Amino acid sequence: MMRFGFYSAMKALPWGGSEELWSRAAHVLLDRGHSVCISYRKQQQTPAPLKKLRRHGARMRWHGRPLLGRTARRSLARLGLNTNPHVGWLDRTRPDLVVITVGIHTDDCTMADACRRRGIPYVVNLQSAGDAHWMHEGNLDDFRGMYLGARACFFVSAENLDIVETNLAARIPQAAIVANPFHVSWQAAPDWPDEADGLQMACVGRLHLESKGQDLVVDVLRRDKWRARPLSVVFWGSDHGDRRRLNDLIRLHGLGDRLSIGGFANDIEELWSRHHALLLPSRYEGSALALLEAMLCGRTAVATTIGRAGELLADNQTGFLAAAPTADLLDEALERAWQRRSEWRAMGTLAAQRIRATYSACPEADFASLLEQVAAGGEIHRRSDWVSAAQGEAA
Amino acid sequence: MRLAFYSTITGLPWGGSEELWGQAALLLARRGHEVFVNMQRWPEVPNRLTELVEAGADVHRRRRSRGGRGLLRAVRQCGVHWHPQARWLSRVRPDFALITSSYHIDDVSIVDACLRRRIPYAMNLQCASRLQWIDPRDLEPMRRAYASARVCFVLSRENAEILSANLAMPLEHVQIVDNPYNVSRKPRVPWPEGEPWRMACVGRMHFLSKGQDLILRVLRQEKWRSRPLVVTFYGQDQGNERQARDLVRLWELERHVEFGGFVPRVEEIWANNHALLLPSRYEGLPMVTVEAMLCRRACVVTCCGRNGDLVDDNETGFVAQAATVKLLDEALERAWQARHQWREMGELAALRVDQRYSRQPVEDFADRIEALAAGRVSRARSAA
Repeated sequence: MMRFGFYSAMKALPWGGSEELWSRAAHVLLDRGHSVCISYRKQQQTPAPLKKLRRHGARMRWHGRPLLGRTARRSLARLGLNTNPHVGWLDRTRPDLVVITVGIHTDDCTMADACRRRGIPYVVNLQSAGDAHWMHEGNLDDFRGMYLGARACFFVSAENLDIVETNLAARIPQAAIVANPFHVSWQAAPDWPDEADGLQMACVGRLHLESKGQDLVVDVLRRDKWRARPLSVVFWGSDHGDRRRLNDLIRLHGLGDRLSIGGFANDIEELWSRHHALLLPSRYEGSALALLEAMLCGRTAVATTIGRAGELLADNQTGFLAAAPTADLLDEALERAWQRRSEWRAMGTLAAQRIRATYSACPEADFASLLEQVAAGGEIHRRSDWVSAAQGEAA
Repeated sequence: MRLAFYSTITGLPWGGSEELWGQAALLLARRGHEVFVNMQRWPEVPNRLTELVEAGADVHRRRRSRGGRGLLRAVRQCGVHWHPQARWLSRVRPDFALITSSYHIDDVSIVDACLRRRIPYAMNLQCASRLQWIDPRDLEPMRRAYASARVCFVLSRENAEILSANLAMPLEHVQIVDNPYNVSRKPRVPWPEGEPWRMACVGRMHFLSKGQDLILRVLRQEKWRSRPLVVTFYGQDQGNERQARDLVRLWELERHVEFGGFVPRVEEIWANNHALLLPSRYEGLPMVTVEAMLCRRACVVTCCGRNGDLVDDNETGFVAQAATVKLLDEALERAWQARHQWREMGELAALRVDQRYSRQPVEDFADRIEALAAGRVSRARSAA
């Protein structure tokens, strides 16, 4: 039996899709008889998945914001003073392996630093990467230490791995690509919605324009040709600060009759029983749960070639890929989709078959097994075709 | 008249975003106006500031704000009208202020102090992108800043659209202006003879904005390794040069990539290069595109900022629809197939830019500031 420590760098929201893989894997490890301790950012209300983990036997530690910034900590470290806020927790819990989950590739690396100080092996589980955030001279060595010093680095897409290696300007030999879990059943097959009132697409993701690109949907649908077509889009997801701005944009362009904000949806299968296709104009992603779930529910998707979308969707077969998150390129992909709208149902059926043939039915159990393997001293070696897959996109 | 120039730039002591107001302020000082400047203090004093002081301008180099925007937000939430530079504004009492925002998310809360003192002002936005968004907590003051300005100067229609989307409000008093450039109008630049084909990527070494990483990610592909093409990076380091050099080593691109450092004489760059390669993720109006075109060079650029209006795809250059490896590769491939036409395309580029770009952007801008300050211009409707 082993002791696993889980640390999440999540700070912007109480909970999110990035937290699903580690938290579910923690459940699996508890079921398998291991002990689990968790360090999570202090919240006003404990997120439900953490309450469940605690009931299941996990030990919680709530960490606050670091009192000192990165520069101050580095200066004090040069004087031999340890100000890392996580060392004490590691000393108390002495995990056999720490799983560090980071929402974006430039998130904080204090826990990795603490693990290295204490000689405790750790793995990094990166949930998204993109071009809006870059490592730089001031923090490059810290990040190289974090990623290259890990026993394994788990990515959710080859595109993310390529971005991180470009950021680090280094190869990560112990990289592996893992699958993210989903919120629908493996057998999900929601009914096809009525088409009498036109086609309804769902744009599923936090209301956060920087990452999820909902503004691009407004920019495309405000164009004259789209105003004449019976197509509506509902934005589903929790507010990450941009609900008001999105609402104002919809009003500004007089699109209230075809764009609406639906809020957070708990029942994803029920959501897909009311929508014909997914619209996912993300600017950066890891592996969007929304895309996995739409495909499992038999829905086609119009998505930007970001994160894992380029690997999961076959362009013009199971969905329509926009080459980049710009209004013109999203328009181009949506136009192709519109011209083949009578085939959406069949394409969705094919998407459901393909995802079940190629994707794990239980990603959290697979991930838990990988963690057991690493904690027992096993090594992770990257497959040689990953970077060539990322390069191949350009070829 | 008493004219105030406030710049938001914080990441650098000076930059391309400062040239328009800096040169216009110098000209206005020489025309006899009282010029006041407020910009962040750095250990080094930019040459342009020294010139301004010599021309009689009153330059205030403000300290870096200790509490940053968090402090300003907290003060605002308490309903207190306070700004660290309000005293400067009270002292200067300008007839007109120009607020230059080097990037659309920069803090422009100085505008509230202008509004309370009934000082008319214009905004001068030098760059915008959709990669970063105005913080929702700053949305209202930012809206107020742009909505209450006499004019919002921007450098491209694309930037105006980005700003409008960020603020989620219409911008009806936008005017597009040209930035000054650093070459003569018809420079004599010899064409470099012989192989390899040489392209120059000119700009600060800053992956987020200038996208130099994309060039390396394109060139690492097998097909480019066998082609006689050399790309030279010119420009100062802004945090990513070490990564660029390490990537060149990691991907064994030494035969195809060189580092030229900062070259003050632009003509010198073009005397050694056949074309521009500019894979920016965002821009306002890249001076390097204008300068390369004036120096009769074709341009391979991404469609951001003014690039899309300056470069005619397949005629005076090659435009990648977005800053991605795949789309840059596609544009560069078209360019490579047409490399024997680069010289002619460059000649055409010089003609086109001469037709589309002001011969005297600084004088034009100074005239507009004078007219605004004199109240001769009512709130203009959008040109964008």
